[in-house]
Amino acid sequence: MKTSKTLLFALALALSAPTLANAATPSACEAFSTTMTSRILGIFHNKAETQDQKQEALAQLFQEAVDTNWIGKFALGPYWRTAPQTERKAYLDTFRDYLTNIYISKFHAKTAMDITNIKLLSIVPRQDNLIFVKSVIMRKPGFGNTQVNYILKQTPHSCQVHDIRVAGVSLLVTLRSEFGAAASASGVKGVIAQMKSRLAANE
Amino acid sequence: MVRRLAWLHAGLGFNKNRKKIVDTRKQHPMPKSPFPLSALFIATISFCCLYRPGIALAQDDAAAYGVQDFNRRDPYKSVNKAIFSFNLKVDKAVLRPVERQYAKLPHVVRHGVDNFMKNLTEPLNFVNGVLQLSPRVAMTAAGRFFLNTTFGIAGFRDYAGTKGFEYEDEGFSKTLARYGVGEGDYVVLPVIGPSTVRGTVGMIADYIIDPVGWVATTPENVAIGTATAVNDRYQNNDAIDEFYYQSIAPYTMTRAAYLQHQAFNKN
Repeated sequence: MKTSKTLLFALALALSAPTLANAATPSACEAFSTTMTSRILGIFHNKAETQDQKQEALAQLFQEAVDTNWIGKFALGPYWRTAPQTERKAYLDTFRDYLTNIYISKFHAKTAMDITNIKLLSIVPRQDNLIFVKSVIMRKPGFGNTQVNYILKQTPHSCQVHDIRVAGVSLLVTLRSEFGAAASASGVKGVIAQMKSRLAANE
Repeated sequence: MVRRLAWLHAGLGFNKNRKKIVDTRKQHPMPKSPFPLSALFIATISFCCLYRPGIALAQDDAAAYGVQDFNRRDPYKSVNKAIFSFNLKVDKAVLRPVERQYAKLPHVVRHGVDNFMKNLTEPLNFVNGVLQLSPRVAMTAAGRFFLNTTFGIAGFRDYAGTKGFEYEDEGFSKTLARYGVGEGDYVVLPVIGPSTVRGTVGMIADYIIDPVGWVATTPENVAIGTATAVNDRYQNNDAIDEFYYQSIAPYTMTRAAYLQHQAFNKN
């Protein structure tokens, strides 16, 4: 699986967050999907910036474009409802750092340079204001292409990324499974402690 | 979860019936009423169900996002977990350190080795293409093998890929899938890692029908196996590191990601 590297790239599909402000219609979300590809490619192919600068920019924009709070709550599933307020806040703060750090830290300039284009295959608005986008990341000949789908959530005032599916692997479904198991074994406090531990190890 | 919901519904349904029973009892008083016990029973069952995590899953939009219960696919969980722990130790002690050293080689060398290893699987891809009755798959594999072995300098360069003939991994598991064989349960194989029943059968069949395996001598097969292990560990490094070392629940995350990927890939 080239899942992880591609997932990183796919996560960065959220980079054009500023354009999402006030994007309250499906067409605005569709426009977001079409414009972000060129913006992301621009960042990845920018030779003037160092890898650290690119990572920093990716992390900042990722947090703006991806609805990390919602993803965090969803990942915890039923355990979120029973968690006390203090734990909830600590959990969401740590989760945002965890998600950003784990994925953005994998940014590899060389891998990004292999990518030549992102082709949008379809944009389908579905129930509950969800918009399903299918795309394919195209690489140089011989490096293989990867299908990346993502789900946008349209709200009255914005449009944010709710899920990213790289080669069939859903970030949301995987996180839900992972965090559900961890919360079941050690509670929300334990989940927070483990995320902090992973963050510390990653630094 | 569905079963638990059914229980809950059954409980509520029983609740309605209970009213009838109570009404009947008003007309025909019984010496000892079962009502308090039934009410307590229903209340307990309902309370337990409502506060079970599985029930709560149904209350949010989990279904809209395709959330699945992967435990259902994992009946051998305790054995799988034990093998997973063993694999983690093997990876930490052997594969990961070797991969770290391998990663220090120049990019052109690593890319060449990857191409070479892929080229060695083309005869097997061809056989599976034939078994799948797919001329496109078979001809692509045969064409790639010829072009890469000759113009691609013994397969170290993916010449066919530059001409638009992309590599396709066609194992026997994919052939079985083509004929409608389901994936089966999730299993973890020693050293090899996550798989399914169909994937395991497919891997054994690939070992038997692989033309390269027939031609190569035992030492050559060992060398190919070792090189494949190192190359695969390198190619999947980010995913393996993420699942094994950065996840807060490595076993569950690996299982979830693997089963989703298999369903997507059908191999």
